[in-house]
Amino acid sequence: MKSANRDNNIAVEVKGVIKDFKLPHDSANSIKSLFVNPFSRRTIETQHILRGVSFDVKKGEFFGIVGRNGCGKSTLLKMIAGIYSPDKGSITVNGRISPFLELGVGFNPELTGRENVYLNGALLGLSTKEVDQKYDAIVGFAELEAFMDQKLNNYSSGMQVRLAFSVAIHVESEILLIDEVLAVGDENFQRKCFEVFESFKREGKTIIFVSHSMSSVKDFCDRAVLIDKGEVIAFGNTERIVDKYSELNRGREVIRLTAENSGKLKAEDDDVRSVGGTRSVEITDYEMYDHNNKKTFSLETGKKFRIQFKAHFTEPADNPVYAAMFRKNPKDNLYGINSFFSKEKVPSQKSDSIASVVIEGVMPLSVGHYYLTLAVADQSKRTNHTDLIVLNNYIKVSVYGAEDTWGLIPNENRVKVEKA
Amino acid sequence: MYIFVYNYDEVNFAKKIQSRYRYSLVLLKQLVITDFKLRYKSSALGYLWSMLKPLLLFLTLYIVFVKFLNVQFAINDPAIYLLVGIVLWGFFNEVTTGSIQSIVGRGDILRKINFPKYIVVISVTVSALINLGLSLVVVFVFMIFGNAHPIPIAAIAVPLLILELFMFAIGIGFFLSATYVKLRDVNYVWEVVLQAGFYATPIIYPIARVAQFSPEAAKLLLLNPVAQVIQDVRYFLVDQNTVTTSSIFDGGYYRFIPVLISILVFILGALYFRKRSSSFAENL
Repeated sequence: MKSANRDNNIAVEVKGVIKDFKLPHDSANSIKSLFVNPFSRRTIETQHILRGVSFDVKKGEFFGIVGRNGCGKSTLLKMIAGIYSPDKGSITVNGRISPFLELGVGFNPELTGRENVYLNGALLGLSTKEVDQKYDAIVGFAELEAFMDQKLNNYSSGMQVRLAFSVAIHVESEILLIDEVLAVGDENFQRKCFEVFESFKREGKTIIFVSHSMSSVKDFCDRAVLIDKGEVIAFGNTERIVDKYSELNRGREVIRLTAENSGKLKAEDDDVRSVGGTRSVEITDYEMYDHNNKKTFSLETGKKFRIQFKAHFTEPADNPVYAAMFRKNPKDNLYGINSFFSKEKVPSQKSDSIASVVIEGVMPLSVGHYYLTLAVADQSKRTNHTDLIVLNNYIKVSVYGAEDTWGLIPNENRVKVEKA
Repeated sequence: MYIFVYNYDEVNFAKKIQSRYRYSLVLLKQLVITDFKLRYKSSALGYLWSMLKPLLLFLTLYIVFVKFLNVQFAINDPAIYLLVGIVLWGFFNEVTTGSIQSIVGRGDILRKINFPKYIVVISVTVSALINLGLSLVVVFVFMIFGNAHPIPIAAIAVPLLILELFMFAIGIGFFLSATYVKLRDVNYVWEVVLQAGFYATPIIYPIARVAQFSPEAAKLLLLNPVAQVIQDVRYFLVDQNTVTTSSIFDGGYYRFIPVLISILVFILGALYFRKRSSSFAENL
């Protein structure tokens, strides 16, 4: 029943991960500030780095994490490596993961190449004995046989990278995390790196790769996830991710898709999304807020939320109706909020006017992913109903909370069993 | 109805713990080796400094306090008596001050790799332990040529006392290093505390003199675990007339207070460190 979550094919499962950084303003880091301003609380700016990110990486996959600078991808990688811990959500790793992100962690310029191999190896989990066994292979791959007893000080940066890379690939881990290493080294070395990655792939190792370089993502990754402003924008097919990424860079507005994971939903959502109605209204600036008044597309079960959008009317509407509908499948209406049924007094609109719409509700659905449809209609009488615009399944919303059911509606379960 | 889902079956779990433990040991070993190599890199005398440092300090204090000021330690060999105090204080000093900046000092690694953070603090203390061992060799050499009166049970008692001191020091070290990540004043505060502590501990003066003057003050001073350990080690290794915590309280329950303090400081320090350690990487 729950086997989907224990899937043996999943190497890394990231589920609803939220991470905030609290940055105190003008923190003096000293007791003095306690004396000078003992009662005024320092203002703390909270930076939302990740706002409910979910995806999964399959075993034996070459998986890319892409996004613009400051989108949160490095933070995410650090959390997968266990360096940071998530504020909310969970990260499950199945298999031995390499604990590092960068090459040559702990390298000390005062030590010789040989000593650094042992030190770096230990940080990556290799015992002295294991390094002894692999030493020749490590040095051989780095092509540094003649330099091993020199201080690292005397190495060129290229030599250091070669040595570091060589140690890293001789660590036997099932899941590798790589943050932009390919940007360094000459062409010859880069080619060598890719050869190693190819052989890792053949050995069935999982590689998670963070990069700006779309060409290497395209060449190597089986699947990828695109992250922007701490949210998953797209997930799955590499080609599509690369397209979206360039769209993003061109500054075009991209429909935000959040938290697609576990293969429960197909990554290719474009085919469920459609626009209907007379299109005399345009919906823009749609935003969603959770119970903490935080802008997000992940909501918590049983908690309040708010949808806001602007409706630009190009033609007059006497009795406009604003609606939001949550769906699991593109066609089944699960949970709808509608200004007609809520009997709100809604002002009529002239042509070329803008209505600012706030829809409030309590999330009745259980953990999972849902499509949100936004619509504006005109309903002068009950019978005369015209859809002005329908953004069908346009926004993807993820709902998190206690997983107390496999159904769509959370409930207090009670199962009584008696022996017959 | 609740269903628990385990991500690892038991075998895997045991394996995971085992490999984590093994990883810690491998890392600890390399960090200690590196520390030692780096510390005495391009120094002519190298490891000898570990012995020379306490020895030179001892010579200074010996000349000042025993020869010039003629402080009456009232024991058979004031030189060894003094040396034992200095060596043990030096160990306490090295563990605590070394710990403070250890986490921040390893920031470059902590930010890039996930490993058990306590290893960093332990590696500092292991270096201090090695130094203590080398210093104790000097003490034993003095004992052979001097006029010390060790009793046989010292072979068991002294290591246990050092363990107690170690726990007390590392407990403080855990606390200080974790606090230092966010509050850099800790460094200066601890410097002052150590300086005061050096004079509040009967290292360069006989506690008996304090007792003559005010028995209550002497009792209070001997509740300090460092003082208790120093006096006890002196008792076992040098002179059985040494005033110890046990003797000053006439064997009452109060004599257990320093040991309890040490254990408590160790446990609380470790718990505090563990609680804070998950956020080290973010705050560095």
